Amino acid sequence: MGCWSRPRVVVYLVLGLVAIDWVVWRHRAVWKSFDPDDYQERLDNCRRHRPDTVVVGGSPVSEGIDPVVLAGLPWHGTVLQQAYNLGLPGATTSDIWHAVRHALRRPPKLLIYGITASDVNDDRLEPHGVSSLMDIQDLREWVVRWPGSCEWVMRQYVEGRLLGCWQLYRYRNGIRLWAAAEAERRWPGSFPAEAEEARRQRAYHAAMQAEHGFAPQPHFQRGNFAAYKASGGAPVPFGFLRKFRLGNHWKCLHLILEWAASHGVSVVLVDMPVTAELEEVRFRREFAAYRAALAELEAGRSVTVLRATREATGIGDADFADLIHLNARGTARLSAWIRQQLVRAESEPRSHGLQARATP
Amino acid sequence: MNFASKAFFLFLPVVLLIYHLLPTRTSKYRFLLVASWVFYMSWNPWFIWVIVVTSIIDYACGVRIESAATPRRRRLWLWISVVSNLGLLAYFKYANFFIANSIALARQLGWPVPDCALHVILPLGISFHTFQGLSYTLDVYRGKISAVRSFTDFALFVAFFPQLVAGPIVRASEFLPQMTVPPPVTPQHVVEGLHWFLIGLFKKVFIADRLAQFVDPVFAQPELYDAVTHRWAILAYAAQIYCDFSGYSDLAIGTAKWFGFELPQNFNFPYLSASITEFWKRWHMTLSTWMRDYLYISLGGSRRGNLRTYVNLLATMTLCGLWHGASWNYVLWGLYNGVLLAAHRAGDHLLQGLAAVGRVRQSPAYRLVAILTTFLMVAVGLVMVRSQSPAGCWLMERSLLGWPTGGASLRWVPTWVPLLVGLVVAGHLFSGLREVRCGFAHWPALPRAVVYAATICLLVAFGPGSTKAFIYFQF
Repeated sequence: MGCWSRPRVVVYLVLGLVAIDWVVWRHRAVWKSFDPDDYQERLDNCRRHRPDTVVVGGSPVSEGIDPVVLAGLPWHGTVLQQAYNLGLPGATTSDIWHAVRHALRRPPKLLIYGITASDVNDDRLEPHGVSSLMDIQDLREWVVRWPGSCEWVMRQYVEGRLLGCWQLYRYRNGIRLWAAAEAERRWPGSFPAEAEEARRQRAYHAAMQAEHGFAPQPHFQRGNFAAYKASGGAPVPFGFLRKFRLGNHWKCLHLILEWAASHGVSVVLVDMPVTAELEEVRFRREFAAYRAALAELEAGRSVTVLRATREATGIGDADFADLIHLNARGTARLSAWIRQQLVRAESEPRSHGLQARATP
Repeated sequence: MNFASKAFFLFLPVVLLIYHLLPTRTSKYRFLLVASWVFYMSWNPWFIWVIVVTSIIDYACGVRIESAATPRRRRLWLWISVVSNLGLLAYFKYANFFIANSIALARQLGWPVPDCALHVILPLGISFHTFQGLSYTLDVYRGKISAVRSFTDFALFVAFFPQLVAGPIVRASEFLPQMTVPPPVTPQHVVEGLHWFLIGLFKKVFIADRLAQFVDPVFAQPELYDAVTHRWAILAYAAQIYCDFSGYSDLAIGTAKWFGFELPQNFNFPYLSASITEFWKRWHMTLSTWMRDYLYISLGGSRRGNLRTYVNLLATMTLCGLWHGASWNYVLWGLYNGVLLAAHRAGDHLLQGLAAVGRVRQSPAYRLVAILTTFLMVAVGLVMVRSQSPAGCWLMERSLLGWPTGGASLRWVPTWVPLLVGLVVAGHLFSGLREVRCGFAHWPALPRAVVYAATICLLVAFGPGSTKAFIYFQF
C-alpha cells in the first residue's frame, strides 16, 4: 500500500491535468474571445463570409484599407457586393500566400494585395504565420524553396502543433484575461490594467467577426505622425527593412499570381503609401530595389499595379499614425482612392486591363 | 538554459530518460557529466574551458595533497588550488571593478590616467563552482575527506547541472559518498522531486517574476512614487529575492531527487529570524556555512578574543558581500551585515547571564518584535543592493524608516502585490512558525494531486509570459 500510494499521486495528477485540459477545450470559445489568434480568426471568418473581393497584406492593409468602401464595385458586368479585409498584422508575403491558399477555397472575383517593401524582405521570418497558417504541404514546399530557414521553420511548425496538444497552455492568456475581467466585475478596481487589456481584446475579437473583417486598432486610428513629429517625439524604430533582400518571399508573390491565374481571379497590387521619412530618408535604397522589382514584375507578368504614392493619393504625414500605418483619415483617403482607381479601370478596360491576366 | 524555460523542459526529460536507461555506473556518470557540461555551454559554449580547467586543477591538487610526503608540499598543492580558483574568480568577476576604482583613485590623486576596461564576460555560476572546488581541496588538506580517484566523479560533483549555476553550494563530503553507486530512484524520490520542483517553479514563476514587474520600475525611478509605494516595493523585493533564490534551490533539490541525489536545504524561512545571526543561519545556508568553515574559522573565528572576533566577522561579511557582486553596493551591504552581526554578538555578550533577559526572550511578544526588527534591518540592507543610485537608495531608505521624503505623490500599488507578498508571509507563518517544512508531503494522494494540478494551472495561466533569469545567476 505504502509503495503504491506514492506513484498514485502522479497518476492522479496526470488524470487531473487531462480533465482540466478537457474542460479548457470545452470552453475554448470563451478564451478565444479574450485572446483571439487573429490569423486564424480572420481566415475562418473569410471562409465563412465568402466575399467576392478580398484585400490581403500585412498590417498596413489590416489597419489602412476599409473594405466597406470597396463594397459594391462594378466589375465585369456585375457588382462585387462584399469585400473582406484579410490583412494579417506582421505578415510577410509568404504568410499572405498561405492565407490566400487556405482562406480562399471559394475564390473571390477580385484579389487586392496591398504590398509594401517590408512584406518581401527575406531578413524577416515571422513565426505567427508558420504556426497558425501552414499545413504539412506548406511546410514541405517551404523547406524545398528556402532550405536555409529549414531548422527555424520546422521548429516553429512543431511548436505550433505541440501547442494544440496542451489546451491549458494554448489558451493561457485568454484564461488570464477572462479571470481578470471576472475579478474586475466582482471587485471593481482589483486588476484595472488586465481588465482594460481584456476589454480591448474582446473588442478586437468582436470587430473581426464582422462580415467585412475590418478591425483596426484604436491607437492607429487616433494616431497622427505629423503631430508626433511636431511634438519632438523620439524617432520611431523600424526594424522590418533591415538587411533588406528580395528572394523567397518574393517567390511567394509569384505563387499568389499563379494561384489567381489558375482560379480565374483578377489581381491588383496596390503599392501602399508610406511616410517620406521611411521611404526617402531611412530606407531609400531598399525602396528603390523593391520598386524596381515591382516594375519588372508588372512588365513581365502584366500584373496591374496601382501606385498609391503620397502624391497620387494626397496622403501626408497627418494621415499616418506612425511610419507606415495609416490613421482613420488616411484609411478613408486611401480606400476611396483605390475604389476610384478600380471604377475608372472598369470603365476603361483597355487602358488598365484588370481582367484576370496574371498568367506568366 | 533557464530552469523555467521551454528548452529545459525538453532537456530534462531526455537526460533523465537516458541516464536511467544506461546500465553501468561509469556510463551513467559520464553521460551526466556531458549533459551537465552541455547545460553549462547552453549559455556560452566558449567558457566551458573555465569549468573544465578548474575541475582538472582541483582534481589533481586533491590527489597530490593526499599523496604528498611533506606538509610543505601539501600546502603547496593547496595554494595552487586556492590561487587558481580565486585567480579565475578575481579576473572574471572583479578585474573591471578593480581597474575602474584604481583609475578613479589615481585621478583623485591628480595622476592623468586614460580610461581602461577589460571586455570580460562573467562565466555562468563561477562563484558557485569555484567555491565547491575550493571546499574539496580544503577538506582533503584538512583530512576530512579522501581525494577522489576518478576524474569523472570529481568533475560531475563540480558540474552536476541542477546546482551548477546558483547553488546550493554542495560540499564534497555531502555529495561524493552518494556517488559510490548510482543512487536508486524510488517512487518516493519521484514524488518528492515533483513536490520540490513545483514549489520552486511556483515561487519563481508565479511570485518572483510577477513581483519583478512592480519592483523594477519603482526601484528604477523611485523619485516618481510616494513613500507607501516605496515601502511596498521594498516588501515586494524582499519577497521576490527570497522566492527567486529559494525557488531555484527548490528546483535544484527536486531535479537532483529525480537522479536519486540529495542536495542540502538552502533556506529555512529566513524572514522569521529573531536576530541577524539567526537570519544568516536561515538564508543561503550553504554559503553562510561555507564562509564560516573556510573563511571565518580560518581567520581565527572567535578563538582570539572579542576584538579579533568582531574584525573577523566584519571581514567575513564584507567578503561575503563582495562575493555577491563586484560593486560598492555589495561591499557596503556586506559590511553593514558584518556590523549588525558584531553588534548582536556584543549585545548578547553584555546581556549574558541576566535571568530577566532570558525570561523576556521566551515571551511571544519579544519574539514578534525581534522578528519585525530583524526584518527591518534586513530590508535596509536589501535596499542597498537593489537601488540603482545613491540618491534612490537614500530616498527608499527614508521611506522605509518613516522619515519624510517630500516630492512625488504618485501611489501605484497593484492589487496583486499585497496578495503575492501575503502569500510569502502566509508560507512563513504556516510552515515556518510550526517548524514543519513539508507537512504537505504526508497528505493523502488525491488532495495532494489536486493541489499539484492547481499549482500547474496557476503557473501556466497566471505566470508572466517570459521568464526572467534567476537573480542569483548574476552572482
